[in-house]
Amino acid sequence: MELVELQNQLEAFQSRDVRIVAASVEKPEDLRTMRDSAGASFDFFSDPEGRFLDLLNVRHVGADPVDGGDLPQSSSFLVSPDGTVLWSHLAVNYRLRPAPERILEVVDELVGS
Amino acid sequence: MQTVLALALTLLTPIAYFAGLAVLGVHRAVPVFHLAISGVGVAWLVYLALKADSKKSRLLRGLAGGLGLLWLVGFAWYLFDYSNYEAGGESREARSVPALASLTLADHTGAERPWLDAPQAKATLLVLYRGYW
Repeated sequence: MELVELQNQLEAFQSRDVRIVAASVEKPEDLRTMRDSAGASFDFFSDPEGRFLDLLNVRHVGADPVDGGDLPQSSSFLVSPDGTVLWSHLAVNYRLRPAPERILEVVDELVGS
Repeated sequence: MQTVLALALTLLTPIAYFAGLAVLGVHRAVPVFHLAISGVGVAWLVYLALKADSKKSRLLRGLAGGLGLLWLVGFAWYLFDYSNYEAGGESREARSVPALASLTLADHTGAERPWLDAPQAKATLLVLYRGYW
């Protein structure tokens, strides 16, 4: 799970003054379950209306196999404090996510260590 | 006994792949090992069906082989078709999305707050996930 890997590398991100945030369309109580199972200590946000999905253009319409609801295309974004997207990675397959080490390389190049 | 073992090998290997992916996050590329082991299980079931010495045994082993093959095909379909997106990729082209900076959402505790509110951070890595991924 990518979230577990990110948690394992959390100190490396924190040492670069980069905060990690996870978000999904799930309700806060489901986020807590996910956060606990990932052993994550970073923030999770609930976005049931898909505002991230629209702002970042990653709405995967009808992708939820259970209820046919919309889901995000699995993706990662490096966002500056003023809301500028510095880097984005949209997965070509939702099993395949960028390795934390790869993201740290991008952080070092774009944000500085 | 061999039929049960072969069927278990066929069915459990893809499950082990998902367990490893969800819990450890270690399987990023094409899971050649899992596909191969599951395929060996199917081949073993077919072999057992062919060498069965009674009609009933052949039928049962054949059914197990068919089930295993169906499972393996389903696994491959999931890996190479169902879980794919139409497009994806990496971009370093900076783009301003002002609405992101003012976006307020409920966090995992249920409290509404600006998601980007971290004055000390140079940047925030936002990960949008679905299910376990």
